[in-house]
Amino acid sequence: MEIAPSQSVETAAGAGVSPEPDAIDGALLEELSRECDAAACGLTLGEVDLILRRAGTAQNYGLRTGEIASRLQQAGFFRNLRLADLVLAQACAQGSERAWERFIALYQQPLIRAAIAITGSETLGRELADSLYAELYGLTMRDGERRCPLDSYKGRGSLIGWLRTTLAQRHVDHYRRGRLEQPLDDPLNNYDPPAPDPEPEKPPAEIQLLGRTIEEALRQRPVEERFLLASYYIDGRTLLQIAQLLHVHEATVSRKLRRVTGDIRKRILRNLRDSGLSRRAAEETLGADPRDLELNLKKLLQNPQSDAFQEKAAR
Amino acid sequence: MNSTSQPDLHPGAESLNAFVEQVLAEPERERILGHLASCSRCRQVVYLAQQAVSGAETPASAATPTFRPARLRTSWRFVWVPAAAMAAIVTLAIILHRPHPVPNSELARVAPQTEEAVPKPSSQKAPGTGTAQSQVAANLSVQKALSAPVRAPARTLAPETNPAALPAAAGAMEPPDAKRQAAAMPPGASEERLSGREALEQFKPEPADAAHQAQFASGSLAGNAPAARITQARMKSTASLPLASRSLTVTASAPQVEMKAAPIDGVGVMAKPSLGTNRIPVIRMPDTTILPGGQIAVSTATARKRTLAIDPAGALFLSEDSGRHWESVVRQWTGRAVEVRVKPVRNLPLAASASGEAAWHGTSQPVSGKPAPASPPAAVFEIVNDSGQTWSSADGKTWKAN
Repeated sequence: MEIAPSQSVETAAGAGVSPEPDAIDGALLEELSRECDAAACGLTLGEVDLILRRAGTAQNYGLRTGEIASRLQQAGFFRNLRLADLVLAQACAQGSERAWERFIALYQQPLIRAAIAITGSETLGRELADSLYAELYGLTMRDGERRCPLDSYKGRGSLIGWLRTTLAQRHVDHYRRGRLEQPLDDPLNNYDPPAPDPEPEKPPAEIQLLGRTIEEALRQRPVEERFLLASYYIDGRTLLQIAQLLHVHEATVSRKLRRVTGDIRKRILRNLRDSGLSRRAAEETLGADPRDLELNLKKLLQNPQSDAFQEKAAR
Repeated sequence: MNSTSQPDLHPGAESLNAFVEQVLAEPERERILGHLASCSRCRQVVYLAQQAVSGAETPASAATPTFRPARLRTSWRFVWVPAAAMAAIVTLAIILHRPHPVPNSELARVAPQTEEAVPKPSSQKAPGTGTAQSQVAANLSVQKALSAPVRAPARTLAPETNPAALPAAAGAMEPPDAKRQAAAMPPGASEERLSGREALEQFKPEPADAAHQAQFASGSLAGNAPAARITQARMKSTASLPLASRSLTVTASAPQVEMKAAPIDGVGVMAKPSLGTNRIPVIRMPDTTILPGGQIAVSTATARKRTLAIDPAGALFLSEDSGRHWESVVRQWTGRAVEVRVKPVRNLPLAASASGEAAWHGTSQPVSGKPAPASPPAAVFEIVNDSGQTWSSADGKTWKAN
């Protein structure tokens, strides 16, 4: 029985079809194997089939959970992957010597350059690249098994992009860890802490109202606008950096930022007026000294409405 | 959603890289973006990864420079389009600001030759020139026109043949819209720029001694083509100046001339006429001085704050506020006054020099009992009529035959 594309698992199971994907069609497998130059990595056709099926299953061939991909969808999914990079990464993760030779030939210099660009120092960059090499080579053992980060590469983006992002992650984590650690002999740790400040005076009602209004206005902004605000005003990124990341023009980012800040101002004014202030009083309240506000914009912008990744962490 | 550093708290390198490379589906992109908006660590990661892209690609591209004609053509296209637009704008501006022809037959004869005598405009014009710069450029242009080489057609406009025709032509050449002309520079001036060194050379201070003045008058200006050329160029610059900008032009250009010309005992000489005795002197127009009635002065002289000017009909006018207001001087001479000048008085007695009024008159006889200024110039005004006779005056109002 032929399964219709995007048929649900339950439907397929009810029809007596196994939800596990079958082996990839032989002709397609040969074609894909040729395309990704698997022979250069010393992989057999069976190993390529295994790698591809594992990648497909891990992402359910790009479909929603519970749906079963047809052969056509499978072929489309594989063609959208960076197959050459994926096969090389998986072969390296499996410890293929020929794959490692190929990996080093292709990515050694770009990796070092990327690490230098990230750290801003040749010494630190080479050190970072070497540490990642060691990690990639599987020197880290967990539960008695070699753990190779290349296993997590799924072929959606380029392998060099994945390597750069991994380098950046390592660098940021190292930097943040270093900031949290303080030497024990730091004289700053030995001083007597001053007496706590007396209980601060409660801010006036208008200031409290303004704080609540700003908080509400910021929370209601879409994620892209909050990302722009956080990048520009909290991280201090330039328009060019933001534009390069979002693949838009600088002028677009500038225009969006202007529009967002204008909208937020209007929203705050409207909320203040809805709270019973006159227009003049609302504008005067909005012109209050920001230092009077007990408002942490950083925390406010970094408090998302939908915590997709927090949800996963809770599971 | 895998992460090798902080599992399940942050998206993994796979997702972040897919976000950076824009290969994520829209729902997942929204999720990643939402996380990035709230997570400074992941924002740092993606920005660093992006920085590594540009940092890693720059040396590679610099190491292997390749010539790509298609890319080059594409980039040239971005140069040609604005260049063509700029050329169109400049052409339009020239057309719009060109002076309109006036139905004056005399002007019709004068104007084309005037255009021809003016130096060819330069096509290079610095962008973003302001009003002040334009004014300076206009002044420089006028000065350059004054010293431009003589061309044959200029001879036909020699002012000594018909000096009275020039003011009439100038009056006829005035454009109807003063504001438009004030905004736009004179045609010759707006397109002619001088370098600083060139301008300084043209503003060279001229010696004040009498010998050099005589050489100046008889050698280059005595009724020949240079005089015609100079007068013509001045006429052009004057004619294109509107009423609204007259005072501006006078105040802007006159100080330059007064500063550069060597003062004689504190007296600025604005006119350097020829001193021929047996022929009609050639008048070098000192500046664009506009007299009451709209006529242009054919000769002016300034001593301290008093300025005397003669109009084409021979009437004398006196101004005591640097040319802002003029009053007519009663005629006390014969013939037609063609020139006014300042005559220095030297070798005054010590007492007379100390007495300002006496020095002002050039004699030891003060004409009034008023207290004298602290250190007045030792000079008198002198006018010359069309027969070469001269009259002198200390205050510009009372004249005595020499």
